[in-house]
Amino acid sequence: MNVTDEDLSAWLDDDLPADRRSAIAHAVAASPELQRRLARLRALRTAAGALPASPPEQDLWPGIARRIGQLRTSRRRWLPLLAASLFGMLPGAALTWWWLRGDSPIATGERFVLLLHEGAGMTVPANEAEARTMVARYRDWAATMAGKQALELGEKLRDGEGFVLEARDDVPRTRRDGIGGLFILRAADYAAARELARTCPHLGYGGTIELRRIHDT
Amino acid sequence: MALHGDVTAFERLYRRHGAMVHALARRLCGSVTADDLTQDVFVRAWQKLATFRGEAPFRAWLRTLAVRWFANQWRLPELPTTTAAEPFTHDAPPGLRLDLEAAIGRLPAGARAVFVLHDVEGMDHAEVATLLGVSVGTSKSQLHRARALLRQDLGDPES
Repeated sequence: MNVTDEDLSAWLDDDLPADRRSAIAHAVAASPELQRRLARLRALRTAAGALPASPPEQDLWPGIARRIGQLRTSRRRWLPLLAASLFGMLPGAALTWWWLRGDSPIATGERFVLLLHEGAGMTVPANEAEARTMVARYRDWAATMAGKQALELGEKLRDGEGFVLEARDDVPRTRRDGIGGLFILRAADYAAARELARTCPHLGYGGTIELRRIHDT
Repeated sequence: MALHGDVTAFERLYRRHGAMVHALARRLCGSVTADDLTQDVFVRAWQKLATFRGEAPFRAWLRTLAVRWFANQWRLPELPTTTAAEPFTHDAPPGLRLDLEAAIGRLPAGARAVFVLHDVEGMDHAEVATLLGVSVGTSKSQLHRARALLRQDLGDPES
């Protein structure tokens, strides 16, 4: 039986059909030469698996921390602008409110809330132009939902404030790591609601959306 | 804690996994760029933490992020030869025992990537194929090629 190094390599990785694996096992058992070749392959694989993950010669954390700090500073610089724009403090803000309060007719169907979760993965606008573009994309999306008669409510929550109430204390909420806003849409069922929610620009900016049906009583 | 923007907690993750990322960068892309790439990966991880769902261990999530970053940024370049000896030829001086780490660095890019991920990192072929954007068959053939070249480079008389 001709046993190649490729066969031995695959045998070592347990990556052969059962009959071929059995045949090679018998061939190896009967051949000291194959046993030597297999031992060398095994030694190579063992040595590779035991290679140490030695740390870098210099501590890289200061550089990483500096870059993260720059990200956070940049984020803080533009978030007020983003929030202000969403809350109608910037010129042209009149455009934002008509959809936030949804004067358009609302379709029938079940009500779903879209909780817009944010976190470290959210895109940070690099400048004012990008911030305005982000705002415009959310606004356009809401307008599209209104056009479908699906939008009931859209709200942006203020950043860097609020409380988390616990049994014995009210903990100030200072981090911007939770829900940044919400929409309430009307849709026939979860499938339809998911289809609508999938088009929300929030996902494209690295956020996540928690979609829940409202329990109307 | 790091998931909620705690930089101190994130530093602990760097202390625990930084060596793994740096070793991957060094083996896949070379020591010249390893420091920069390691920093890139951890900054990227910070930005993407919200996407970590905890379904896999953090180490595996970070390793996937790192390999994808390296592959996208650098296309796993061919590394320069670090010794005077011509690599992977039968003309190499007999008995030459080259350090495995250095020999990995002399592998062609495709074989090196598969060998590092499969034999050093312990990933299976399906994972390797997905990460590198190749077929499982290509992963297997590259692994065999890498092992054969390494045995030759390390002076295995039967290679």
